[in-house]
Amino acid sequence: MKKKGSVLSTLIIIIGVIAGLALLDYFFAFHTNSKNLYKGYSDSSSSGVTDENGIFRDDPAELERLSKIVRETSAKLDLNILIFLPDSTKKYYTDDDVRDFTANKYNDTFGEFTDGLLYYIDISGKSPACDDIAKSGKASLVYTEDICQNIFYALDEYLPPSYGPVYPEHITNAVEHFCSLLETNYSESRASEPYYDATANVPTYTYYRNGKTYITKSKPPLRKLLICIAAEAVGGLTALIIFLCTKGRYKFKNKTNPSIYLNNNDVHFIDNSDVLIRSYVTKHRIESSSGGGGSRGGGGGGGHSHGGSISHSSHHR
Amino acid sequence: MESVEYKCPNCNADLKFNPTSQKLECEYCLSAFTVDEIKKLCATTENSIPQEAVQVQEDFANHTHLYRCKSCGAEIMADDQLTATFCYYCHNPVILAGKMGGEFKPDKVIGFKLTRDNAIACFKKWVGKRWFVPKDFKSQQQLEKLTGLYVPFWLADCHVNVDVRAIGKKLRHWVSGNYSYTETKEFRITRVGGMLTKGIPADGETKIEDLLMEAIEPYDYRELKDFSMSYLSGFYADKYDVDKSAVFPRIRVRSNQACSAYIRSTISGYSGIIPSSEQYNISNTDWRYTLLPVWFMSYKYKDKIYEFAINGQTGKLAGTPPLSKGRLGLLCAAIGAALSAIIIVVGGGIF
Repeated sequence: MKKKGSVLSTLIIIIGVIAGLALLDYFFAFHTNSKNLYKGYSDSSSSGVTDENGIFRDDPAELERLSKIVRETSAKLDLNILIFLPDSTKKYYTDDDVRDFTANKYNDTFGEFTDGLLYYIDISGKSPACDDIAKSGKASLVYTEDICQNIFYALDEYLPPSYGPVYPEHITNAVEHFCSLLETNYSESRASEPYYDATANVPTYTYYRNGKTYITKSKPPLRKLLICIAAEAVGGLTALIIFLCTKGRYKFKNKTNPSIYLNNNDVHFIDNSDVLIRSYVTKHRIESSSGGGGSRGGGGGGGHSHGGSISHSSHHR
Repeated sequence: MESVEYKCPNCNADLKFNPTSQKLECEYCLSAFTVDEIKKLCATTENSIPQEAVQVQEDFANHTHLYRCKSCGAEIMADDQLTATFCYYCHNPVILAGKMGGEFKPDKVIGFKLTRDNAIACFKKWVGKRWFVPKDFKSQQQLEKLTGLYVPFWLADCHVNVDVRAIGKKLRHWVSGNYSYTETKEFRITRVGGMLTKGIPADGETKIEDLLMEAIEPYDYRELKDFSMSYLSGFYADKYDVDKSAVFPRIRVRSNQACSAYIRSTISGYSGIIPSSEQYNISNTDWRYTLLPVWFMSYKYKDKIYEFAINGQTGKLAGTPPLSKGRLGLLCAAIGAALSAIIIVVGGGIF
């Protein structure tokens, strides 16, 4: 009866501890979030094509037409979209410089923590060229790394090689297809994984929760919950191991070896013999093992036309 | 608190056995007497020392009493002057039950060499390494429960006829050409003879765990003395309640273990041994009923009694330390919580 009561009280304590931890986890995960920095999307007025290179200098109508297409796509997707055509001064930018530039240019144009993206088509003369897409807000969630890479590959068909001349029709085709690709690849349901922007001045997490977009400096609640649960599991397991190991030390261990009660002088053998009764030899053939070497042909790896970096950049030739 | 008292021939105060000097000493006039001296001087007081064996047993019976604990039923041997205050097993008061029969007079005794302070030091050293014992387990009050107790032991000298037969194999490998050769030599191993295991002890007290007593072995039997009540002065003593026939199975097992270990040590150099037969027959056993010194302590914790014993001669300690699961649990929980907190903070679980 007493044992039953003890088991019951232990069970109640365990349930209490688990419930307490669950409450604590809930509090940590859902009530310790930093401020939502998300600003969203206002209108498509700032979207368009910025021709710093001057490739459409002789045909401003075409540039305006392309900007209109971009603005329409922007309005349709509720995303700020800017396509930037750099001049030759950015020819010596490193890939990192390009990424910094696109991120800063986006922020300068549309503001931080807004929904949108900036597509940097590298026609500066840099070889290899480094294309980049700087994303912000919802765009970070919708256009994942894989999608951006696919877009780069798809546009590779329309863009000239790094070393070749660039004509306005190259850009026209690229912009039209880029907008088309943005539309076809748009799917909010894809954005289940939070996006972590480690390159920003203050690293932020972008994620959806309950149909709303959040940009916070702290981790998303579900991730925080997982961290809490994992930490508690590690802590609990450690505590359990320490408990069991220590408990094991509180056991009776000593036992005297009875051999101490037998002295050599008190042993008197009548027969203490080891007699050889038989001897035989067995032999086995040693199997020779032949190793199958074989040369490994080294197939040359085909180069990508887009030597895209891990982030959003890509090179076209 | 003495179980047996001897009066000082000079001042008539109580004499106490001092383990350090191995003498009976008077705290008032500072007289000191060896056991042999007191045997002569107190011949009229301690009537258990006459020359004739019959007289010895009768006198021992006349001057020795059994106290029985109402709670646990333990029987405690003491002389007729003793007023016991508590049972050293369960710490409950004991009452006078009856006189002890002469057959309980031990043959031999080893006097206490470890003083109470030595025993406390041993215990403190042992318990110092254990952090999670209950707090009051280390308390002064608990240390006061340490009781010097002469535990009844049966010492058995077993004459064992040994007959062990086995087949031993020696292997030798070599390679020649495309062949690997193995030479196997088989030996008939025979070990036949007699062995004498001397002084295997078995406590004759049901109230004390056998394993606990085995754990504080061995005693140095070179210090065995003929029994005299004077050794008991200042200590408790117990009479056996398990006779030698009842302890014999334990003795036999330990004797066989000793012989078997010895036989194994004589068989070496073989790759494999296949036992054919192994017989250990005890043909004769010589018994000595002996009182051996043990500092004994029991501790009740959560309805469980924990017993500790210290060899009163060598200071070897054994026992199961009580574990305060609450304290250990709290520390483990604190470590687990700290670790979790570090992981949560470092992993960004909060911020």
